[in-house]
Amino acid sequence: MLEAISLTKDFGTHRALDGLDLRVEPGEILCLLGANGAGKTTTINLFLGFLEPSSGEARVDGIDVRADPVGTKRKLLYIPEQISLFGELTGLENLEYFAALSGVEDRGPARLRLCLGHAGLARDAMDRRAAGYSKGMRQKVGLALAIAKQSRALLLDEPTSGLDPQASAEFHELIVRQRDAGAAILMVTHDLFRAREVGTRIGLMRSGRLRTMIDSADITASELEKLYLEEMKCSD
Amino acid sequence: MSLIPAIARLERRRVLRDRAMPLLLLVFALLAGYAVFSGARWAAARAHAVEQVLAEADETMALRRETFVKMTAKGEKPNFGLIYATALPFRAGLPNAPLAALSAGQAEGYPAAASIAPFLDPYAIFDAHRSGLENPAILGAGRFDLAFVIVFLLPLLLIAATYDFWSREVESGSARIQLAQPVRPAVLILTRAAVRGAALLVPATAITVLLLALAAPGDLAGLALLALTILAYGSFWIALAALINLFVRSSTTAALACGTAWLGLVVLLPAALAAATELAAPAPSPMAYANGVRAAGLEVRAANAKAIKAAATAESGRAYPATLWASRREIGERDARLLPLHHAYAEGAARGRSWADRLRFLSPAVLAQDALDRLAGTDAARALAFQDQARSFAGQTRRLAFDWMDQDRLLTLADYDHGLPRFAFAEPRRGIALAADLGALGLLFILVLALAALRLRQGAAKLL
Repeated sequence: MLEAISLTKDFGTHRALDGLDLRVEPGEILCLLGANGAGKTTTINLFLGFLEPSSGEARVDGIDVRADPVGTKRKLLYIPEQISLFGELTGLENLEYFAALSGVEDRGPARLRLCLGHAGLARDAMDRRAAGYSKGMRQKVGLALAIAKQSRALLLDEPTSGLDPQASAEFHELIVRQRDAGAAILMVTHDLFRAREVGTRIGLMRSGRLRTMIDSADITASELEKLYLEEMKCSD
Repeated sequence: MSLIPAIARLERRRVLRDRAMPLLLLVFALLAGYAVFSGARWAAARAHAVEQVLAEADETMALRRETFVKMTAKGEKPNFGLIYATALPFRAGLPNAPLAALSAGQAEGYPAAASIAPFLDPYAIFDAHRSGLENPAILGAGRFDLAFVIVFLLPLLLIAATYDFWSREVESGSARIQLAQPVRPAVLILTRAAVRGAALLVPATAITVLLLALAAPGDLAGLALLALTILAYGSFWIALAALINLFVRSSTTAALACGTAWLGLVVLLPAALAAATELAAPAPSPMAYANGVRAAGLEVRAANAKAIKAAATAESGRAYPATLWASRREIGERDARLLPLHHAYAEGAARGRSWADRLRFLSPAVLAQDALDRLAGTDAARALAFQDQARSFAGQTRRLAFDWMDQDRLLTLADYDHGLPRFAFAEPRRGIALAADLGALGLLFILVLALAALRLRQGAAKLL
C-alpha cells in the first residue's frame, strides 16, 4: 500500500534521505525510529507530496505520488505531531470541513458524531469550539477523520508526542483498531516502548538511511532499546 | 464534486465568528459616513459658489435694466454699459455631476466658473475663479471624501482582514493538514482568500453605495459603476494579500509585506509616477506664463496707447463710440499676440497630462482614484472640457458683440427682457476613459492572480 523505491532527497549538498526502500502492507504498522534528522519526517513529507524526491519514487497503492498528488492523498490520512484545528469551529465542524476536503460523501452530523465517538472524543466536547481542546482531543479529531474517510493508509508523524500516558495509550489503541481494519500505517515515533507494542515491524533510521528492519515480535523492549542506542552510536 | 462550496462554507463560518470583522466594518461605515457628509458639504458649497457666480450676470443685468427704465422714464438717453453689447456680462459655470459628493478629485485644481466679457481675453475668463489650492488645510490633508476612504483606507481594512489568512496557518501547522487532503492548493487557498476578502469588501461596497445614494440619489448607473470600481479595486488588494501569503511563512512577515505593499502602491508609487511625469514632461511654469502674458498685454497696450487716447476725443460717426472701435482693434492685436503664449502653456500642460495618463496604468490606486473622479465629475477631463466650452462660449459672445457693433445695434429694453445667451455645459463622454480605468484595474487583478497561480503551480512544498 505504501512503498518507497530508492527514495532519495537532497537539500542542497545535504542528503536527507538516501535510497530508502520500504513497503507497508495493509493491516501492518511500520514504525520508523531514529534520532532527529534521521530522515523520518522527510519520508512522510515525500509520501504527502510536500517534497519532491531527488530520485526514486514514493508510491501509494501503486501510484507515484508525483504523478497524481491529489489522487494519492485520497487514500491517505496524515496525523502530525500537532493537529492544528480551526479554533473558531467546533470539533464537529472541523471534522465536517476536513471530511469535505477529503471527499467523504457521507458527512452528515450523525455519521460524523459517530466517527468522533469511535475516536474517543467525549460527546459534550464535539460541539465545543476547538480553541479549548487539549492536544489529545485534537488528535482524536484527526483519527475521527481517518475513520470517516476509511483511509487505506495512515501517515503518523510522532502523533503521541506530548500526550499524557493515558491519552497516548488510548491513541495507540485506536491505531491498532485501524490496522485491524486493514489500514497500512507508517508511524514515525521516538517512543520505543509503544513502537514495539503496536508496530508490526520496526525500522531504525540514521543519517537518511534505513539501517535495520525488524519484526517487533522478534525483539523485546529492552533488546530494542539496546539495539537503538547501539545503532545511534555508530558513525557513518 | 467541487470542493469550492465546502471550503467557502467553512471560511464563511469562520469569518462570521471572527470578532474583528464587524469591528472592521463598523470602522469602515464610520469613515464612509463622515466622508459622505464631508463630500456632500463640499459639493453643496461648490454648487452654491457656481450658482452665485452665475447669478451675478443676471443681477447686473437686472440693475442695468432698472437704470435703463428710470433714465428713459425721465427722458434721458441711456448710455455706456446700458446700451453697448461690448459691455454685456456673461458667466459660465461647471455644474456638479450627480455624484460630486463622492470625490473632490481634481476639481479644486481647475476653475468651476468663468466671468466672460466680449472684449476679455478668452484665456483670462477663469482668472477670478481659481481657488482651493492655496488653502493650506487642503494642501496639508487633502479632502476627506469617499474616494479617499476607498483608495487609501479600504485597502488597509482589507489587508487587516486577509493579511495572514494562510501564513498564520503555515505557522500553526494547520496548513499541512489541509494540504494533506486531496484538494488542489489553488482551489483551497484562493477560495478561502476570496470568501474572507469578500466578507469585508461586499458589505463595504454596499455601505458606500447606500450612503452615497442617500446623499445624492438618482444616478443609478453611476452608483452601479461605483460598486464595480470598488469591487475591482478591492479584489486587487485581496488577490495581492493572497499572493503575499503564498510567499511568506509567518504572520509577522505577512503583516510587514502587506503594509509595505500598501505604502508602496498607494503612497509611493503615485508619487513616483508624478515625479516621472515631471521628469518626462516638465510642467510649464505658471508664473513665467502669467508674467509673459502680462508683459505681452502691456506691450500691445503701449503700442495702442496713442490710438486709444486719440479715440477718446474722436467721433466714430456710428452707434458705438470711437473708444470701443479702438479697443476692438487693440484686443484683436492682443489676442493674436497672446494666443501663441496660451497655446504653448496649454501644450506643455497637455504633454504632462499625456504622460500621467499613460503612467497611471501602473498604479491601481491612481486608476481607482481616476475612476472615482470620473464618476464624481471632478476629473481633469471634465474640467478641461468646461474650459474649452467656456472659451467657445466667450467666442460666441464676442461675435455677438461685434455683430451688433457692425450693425450699429444698441441694446433696447426688449433685449433686456429676452435675456442674454446662456452657457450650457455639455457633459463630455466618460465611457471610454472609465472603461479603460476599470479594464486596467481588472488586468492588474488578473496579473496578481496569474502570479499567484504560478506560485501555486510550484506545489505544496512551496506553500508550507
